[in-house]
Amino acid sequence: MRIEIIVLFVYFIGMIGVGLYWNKRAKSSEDYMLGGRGMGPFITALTLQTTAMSGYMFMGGPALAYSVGWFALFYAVGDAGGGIVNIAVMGRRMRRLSQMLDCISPVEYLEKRYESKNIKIVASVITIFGLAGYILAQFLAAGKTLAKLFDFPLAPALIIGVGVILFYTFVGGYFAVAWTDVIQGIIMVSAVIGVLVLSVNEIGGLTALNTKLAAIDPTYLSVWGKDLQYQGAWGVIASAVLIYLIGYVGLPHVVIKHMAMESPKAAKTTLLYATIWNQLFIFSPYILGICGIILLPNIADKEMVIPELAFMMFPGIVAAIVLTAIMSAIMSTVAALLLLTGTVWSIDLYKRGINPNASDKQVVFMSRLSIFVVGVVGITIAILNPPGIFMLVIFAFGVMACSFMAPFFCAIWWRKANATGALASMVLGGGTNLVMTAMGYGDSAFFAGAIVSIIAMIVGSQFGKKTTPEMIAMIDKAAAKNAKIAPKLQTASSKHLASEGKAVAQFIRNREFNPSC
Amino acid sequence: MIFGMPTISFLAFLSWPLTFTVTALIIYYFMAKQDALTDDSEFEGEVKH
Repeated sequence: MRIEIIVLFVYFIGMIGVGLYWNKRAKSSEDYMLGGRGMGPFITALTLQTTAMSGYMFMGGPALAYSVGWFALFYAVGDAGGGIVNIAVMGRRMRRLSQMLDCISPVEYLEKRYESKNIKIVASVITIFGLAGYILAQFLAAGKTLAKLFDFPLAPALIIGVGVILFYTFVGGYFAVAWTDVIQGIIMVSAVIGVLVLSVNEIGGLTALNTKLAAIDPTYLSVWGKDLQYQGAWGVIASAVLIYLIGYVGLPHVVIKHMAMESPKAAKTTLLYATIWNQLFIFSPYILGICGIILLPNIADKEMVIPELAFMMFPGIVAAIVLTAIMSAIMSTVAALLLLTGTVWSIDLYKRGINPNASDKQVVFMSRLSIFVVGVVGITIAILNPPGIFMLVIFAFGVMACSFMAPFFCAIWWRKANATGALASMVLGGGTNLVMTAMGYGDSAFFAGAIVSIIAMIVGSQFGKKTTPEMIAMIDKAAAKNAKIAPKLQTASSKHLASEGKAVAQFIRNREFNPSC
Repeated sequence: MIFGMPTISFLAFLSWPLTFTVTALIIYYFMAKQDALTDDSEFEGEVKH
């Protein structure tokens, strides 16, 4: 058996082991779906970032850089700053408000914040539609990657690859998903940096890389892309940067990670870890694509730049680990999507719709059942691969991001934001993205959808029922306005006051015994 | 030219890792200051059942 297949199976067994290990820990629905809100900064940072990075980073990104040169890094710039925006803007406030509202799912969070059942219906429909497209895309990517890298036939590749993800998500819930994300995140960053260092060294350093590129075609180094094909295309550049810089704020499977943090105070350290991981990981695959122009000038399939470089630079077993890193990127995203699907079905539709008296065990069972059903149906559709399926996928990210970005953001940052504004924002923002993508304006669909979504939120919130005073009080508390003073500070000021009190007492005593002073 | 590439290209593509790291450190500093003034004890630790 080839070494890379042995390494892959050892990795799969490891992931299954993590799932089994966490199986007993996930007792309640809050444990199963949010890790008991007990995730530390390091785990939160890695699970947040690996969920956001899919297999595109290892295949599509380097292929783009191979084609257009340094211009491709505009996509990396937005991605690399996305973690900062997401955690700094949402982290602490969303963590506090979600616990105050006692909610487990992002849809439940929106419904309770905006105090409207209609929000629940619309948000559930968009989430299920978006997740379905996203999951299917990642299933197809997992199957095709396994087929491409390991020469497996597509159907068995899908069943094995997705089967492993299904297993550890099904048995271990959020704990297993988060811890496998940590392992996957470490494999991803180590693999990509290892290949990058050796590749740049092989070329003779960064300066030599650019000199050799310029000798082939100087426009590879241009900010406008090869052959200056994007000259003056500011809209394309703005969309490339913004889609990932602010888009993650609107993705339910990403923002749920804030709700699972062990405390609001964990956000700052999470931000630091996430930023460091991002800077180490995100730029590297694109630069490897550029290295491929020099080292692999005649490559048949541009998406195979990283695997080819891995086999060129490393012995078989290490190269096999790099291939495993590609699977890791896909698996971390799929697991988060599956778990959120289970959460939306079991909490938003089952417990809060069909059976309000459901016990915790029944809710966890329903979540597991829906993960299993979605997995089996997804594998079947991916194997059949009906024509047009990829069209669905193109819509998924943009529609979800444009629908939810403003409602999630304004939920904690704008007290006046109400249900009418949130509904208008979801329908018009997502709708604009959908229509523009369908009409072939995909490059600017995100930008337009985001603008419409924000305007709809502002205008819509001028109408309808106002935010209740109770909710305003909770939003203020989530923003730490009128918050209680930290105990450490109280102790410090008490000590300070105590010494002042002592001095005053001494003064009075002196006056009593010595009235002349 | 920086590292063999036009300065504008270097600034557009390769200055960001440092920029984002410094930004994260500054934000960390301000968040730490805010956290020190806030009592978040009711939101800390795992939720017990």
